[in-house]
Amino acid sequence: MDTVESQLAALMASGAPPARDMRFELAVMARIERHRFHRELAISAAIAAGAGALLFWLAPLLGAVLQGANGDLVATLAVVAGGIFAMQWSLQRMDA
Amino acid sequence: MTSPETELAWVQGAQAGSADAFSRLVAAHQQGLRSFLRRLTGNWAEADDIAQETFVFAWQAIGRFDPARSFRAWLFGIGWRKYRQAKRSWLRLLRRESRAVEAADVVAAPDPGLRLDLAAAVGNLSPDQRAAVLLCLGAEFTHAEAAQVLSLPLGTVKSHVARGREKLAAVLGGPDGHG
Repeated sequence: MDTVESQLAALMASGAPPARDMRFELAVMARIERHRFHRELAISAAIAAGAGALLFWLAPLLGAVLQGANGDLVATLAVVAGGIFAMQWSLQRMDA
Repeated sequence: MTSPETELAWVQGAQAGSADAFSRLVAAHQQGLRSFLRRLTGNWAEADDIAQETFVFAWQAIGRFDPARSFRAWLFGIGWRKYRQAKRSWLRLLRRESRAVEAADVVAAPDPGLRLDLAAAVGNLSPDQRAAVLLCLGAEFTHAEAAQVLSLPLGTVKSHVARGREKLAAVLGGPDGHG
């Protein structure tokens, strides 16, 4: 008769899933992607909220700058480009 | 069987952020981990759920894994902690209840050619003892690896294995399980 070890190994094998189980593997990777998506969504929401608060805080200053520029397209674009650059930098930091 | 060099390359790839490398680790270890958890829980659906959580956690934490150590032992250690957490989770209890019918079909599946009394005897061991026995006698872990998995002192693991083995041998009808 078999020893405890061999019978236990047989018991483990009897409950074992297949060596390759694409369904399970895909389910794991889908779950990982879902976690990653939720994390990135939370971080993006936090960044957007922070940017919104910053914009609210800077609004009087920005208003004054833009009014001072008096329709100067270059100055306006510089402010907008700065904002976009700041957002991109934040997103790159998030990916890293 | 995956060579240690290949596995190390996958681990390093996963640490660099490669989902493809991590998916290979999942493929290589899903069978062993799920078998272990299935025998621990006695419920295949719940075991597979814990196994998925284990892999998700491993993906999130793989940056902290030391490649000089055994990936399998590290992974099973996460699985063991997830199992312990699951046992305490009331939320999982509710989900388990809701899946009772589906799970019952799977758990009740017979083990052809095997002694059901052995399965019952394994189920009657304490959780620590059962895990130590399943790892060392059923899955070819060394005592040191099992100690790492279970976060227990080496001597405690050896004691669990010896006592668990004695109980199982008694069920099988002899000191060495020769019935």
